[in-house]
Amino acid sequence: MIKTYLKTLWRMFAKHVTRFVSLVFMVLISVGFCSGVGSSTDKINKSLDEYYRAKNVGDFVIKSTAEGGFTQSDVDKARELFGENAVINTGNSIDISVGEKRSVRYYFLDFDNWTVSVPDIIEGEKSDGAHGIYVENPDNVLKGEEVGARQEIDFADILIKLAEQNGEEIDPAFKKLLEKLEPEKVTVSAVIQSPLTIANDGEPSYNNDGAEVPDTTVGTADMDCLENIYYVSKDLIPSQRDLMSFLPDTPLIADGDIYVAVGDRDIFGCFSARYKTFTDGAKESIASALPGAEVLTLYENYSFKSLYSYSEKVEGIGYILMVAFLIVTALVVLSNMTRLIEEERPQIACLKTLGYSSTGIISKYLLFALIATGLGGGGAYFVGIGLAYLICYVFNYSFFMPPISSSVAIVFYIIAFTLIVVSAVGATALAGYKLTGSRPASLLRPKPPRAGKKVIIEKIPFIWNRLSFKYKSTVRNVLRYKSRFFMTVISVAFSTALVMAGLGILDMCLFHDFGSAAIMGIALVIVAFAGLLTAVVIYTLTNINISERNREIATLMVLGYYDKEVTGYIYREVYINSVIGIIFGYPMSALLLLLVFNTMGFGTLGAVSWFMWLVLPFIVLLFTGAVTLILRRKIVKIDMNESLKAIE
Amino acid sequence: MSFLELSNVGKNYKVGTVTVEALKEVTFGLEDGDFAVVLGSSGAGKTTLLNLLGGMDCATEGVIKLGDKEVTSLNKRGLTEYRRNDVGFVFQFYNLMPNLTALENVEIAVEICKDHLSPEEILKEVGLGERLNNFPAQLSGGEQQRVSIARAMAKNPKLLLCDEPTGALDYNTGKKILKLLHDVSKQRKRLVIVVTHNSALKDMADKVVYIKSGRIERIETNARPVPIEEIEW
Repeated sequence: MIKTYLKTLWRMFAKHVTRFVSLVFMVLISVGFCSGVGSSTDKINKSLDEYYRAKNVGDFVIKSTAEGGFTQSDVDKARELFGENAVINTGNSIDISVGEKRSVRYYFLDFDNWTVSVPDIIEGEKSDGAHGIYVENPDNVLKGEEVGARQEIDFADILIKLAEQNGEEIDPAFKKLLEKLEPEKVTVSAVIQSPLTIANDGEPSYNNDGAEVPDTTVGTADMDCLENIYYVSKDLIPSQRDLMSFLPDTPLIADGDIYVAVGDRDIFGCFSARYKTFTDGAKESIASALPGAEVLTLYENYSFKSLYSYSEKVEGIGYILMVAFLIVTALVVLSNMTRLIEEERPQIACLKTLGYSSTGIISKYLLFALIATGLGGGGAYFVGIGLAYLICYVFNYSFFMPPISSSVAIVFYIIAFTLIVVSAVGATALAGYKLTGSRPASLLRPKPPRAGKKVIIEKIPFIWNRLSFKYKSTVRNVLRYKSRFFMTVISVAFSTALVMAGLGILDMCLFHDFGSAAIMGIALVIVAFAGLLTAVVIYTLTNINISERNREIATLMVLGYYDKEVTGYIYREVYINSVIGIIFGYPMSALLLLLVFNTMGFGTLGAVSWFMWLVLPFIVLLFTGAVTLILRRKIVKIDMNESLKAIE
Repeated sequence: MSFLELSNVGKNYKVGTVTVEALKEVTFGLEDGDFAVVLGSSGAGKTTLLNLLGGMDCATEGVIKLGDKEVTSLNKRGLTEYRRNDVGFVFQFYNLMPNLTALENVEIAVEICKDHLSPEEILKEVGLGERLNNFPAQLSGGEQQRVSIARAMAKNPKLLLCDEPTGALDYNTGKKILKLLHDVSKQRKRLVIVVTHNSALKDMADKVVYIKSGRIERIETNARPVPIEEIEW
């Protein structure tokens, strides 16, 4: 008995293979999207956290405002403050303005004890003497230098310009002495990547008059940014004695910076709340221990701050879109399973009269739903991982990305998967028990076809009389099954809104300079996934439509309708539904975009270019067209003998 | 040379590695205005024959000719045109479009047809003058079959094919439908072929084609067909 029953199970899969496939893809796309977008933020944050540990990134830069910089006792105070596990470097960093909104930074560091914010050598070798310098890895703003390039470090020039920038008066005699200093001839030993300047679109300099460091490229565009960063060994700094022999052997540039990497590397947690509290507290302690000193934290580091902020934005957009994806998927899975059971009515009736229990009968369809969603969901795990990597990879355009963390946050995957499985199983069980609950006698009778009736438009002769005959039939068909009509329209409207969300964000990136290439990559991912979703939604609904109308299609064929006319009969309906879905999709798009822009903190609805709104219906119709093309074969291949068969 | 002529028509189906001969060496001819009955039990090859006559399937061998048209030499497009203009089809289960009214159900067939009759007049002729704007669900089974017949007739076809036209109807309604089909044949001088397993119908036909195991068993010509009203089953 079980053997034969299993046979019917197998045949069900064979019979509903397109339905099965569309279910699998539906789940694959939306669960994949949720898990990918959901875990990408986690991945980026983890990468940043791992990078922070690996490079011993400094938590504080304490800058002296006193002439003569920090004394040894100041450094000892700092060491006392942060405990012996903290790593402390001293040095100096000077930004010299070189043009409008452009500065060059010179770091003066102890190359042999560079243990805070350790850079990666991108090209070249470690410097083996004071005359080898390092240059920061070039990006969209930083110009960089070739390895081996010869350069001059003109200390006189640096000191004079610094004084000018600070509005300080230089004693003319001292100035004269300085000008006698020969520039130091140096060679670029290596191009390095500092963990503190991983953003590719400009690193604000100190010359911004204390303006707050922004967290997007929109903000940095108007700021004074670094054009080059040179790392020079402290040993190269001339001493006062080089000016006049009786002066002390004190370097002309004192240690103005203390770089602190706190001992507890767990504390960062990618800008965790604990880190914020700790940082605020530490700033106060520094202020009381070293009065007058300025403190820069990672919250003032553009690279760290903006990478974190972009990943937060991705998360925000992700949450909203995930909900929309899941709603559409749940709706379509629900109608797919409900209709499957309705189509199987004769078989269910037969099994019922043979004495099979309701649960026994329904379990077959539950299995169908479970296997389809399970297969899709299983594949979605890998789609999710791939998508998360893709998103991280896209961040490479805006950042010199730290090595991507291999961690996978499966919470989004599990939530999305569970929701879809529950809605599929729930819908199947509900529809199944509703049907098997009725008496077998009434089940055996075929479900009477829904009576045709006049639709509301027929009462407006002005419109109705102008419709050609073909369209009259289509209009009635569209309005015949109201729940199906609404299901289609809502699903298409949601997918349309998702596509528009992607287009809207893309538009902000392209034409309003918002966000960055990273967000633009996201936007493209959204358009692609929303488009795929739309295609699968329309595929599923059209597929259901065709399989329910087999008999009508076969009859039209017997009546001598050409393939084109037969497909037109079904497709007019599909296109009308799509167009209505798109129309409803517009207000929905506006709402979704509003929500997205609010979450991201940039972009406005009004700023979205008009042509994005114009191109939207074409994108959706393009997908509709592709689907109708694929399904054309299925219609044309319908056996005319269907029309001769008894009504099932 | 008959109006409809089949000579040595055969149809094979390939099922896996096995070839099933559904029809073999079918040869007969029927004339314009004939009311013919194709009689056979289920599985005898009736449906296959119907499919070939209706241009819904292609014969594997032999020639079918309707008037001056050689049906067996038509390609897919040609067959569609043949169904569109030359054949009317009456289904056992009516196959009306549920969302179209009686009138529109006839219109859907004639609007693609070259030389058709007025749908309204045909519906009046089959006795549905008062039911033009009713949807199928609002009509009885007999009325629905009348719409189906009207749909087939309105195309002004050369050949009217009826697949168990009374199969889904009660006894009395069935008789009325057969009378209607018979009238079409005689008044409009049309070739009407009724495919059935009900042997009682043989007495009303001008010609009876007996089909068994895919072969023509014999063909009888009734010199004096009995009016359907007098036939009981």
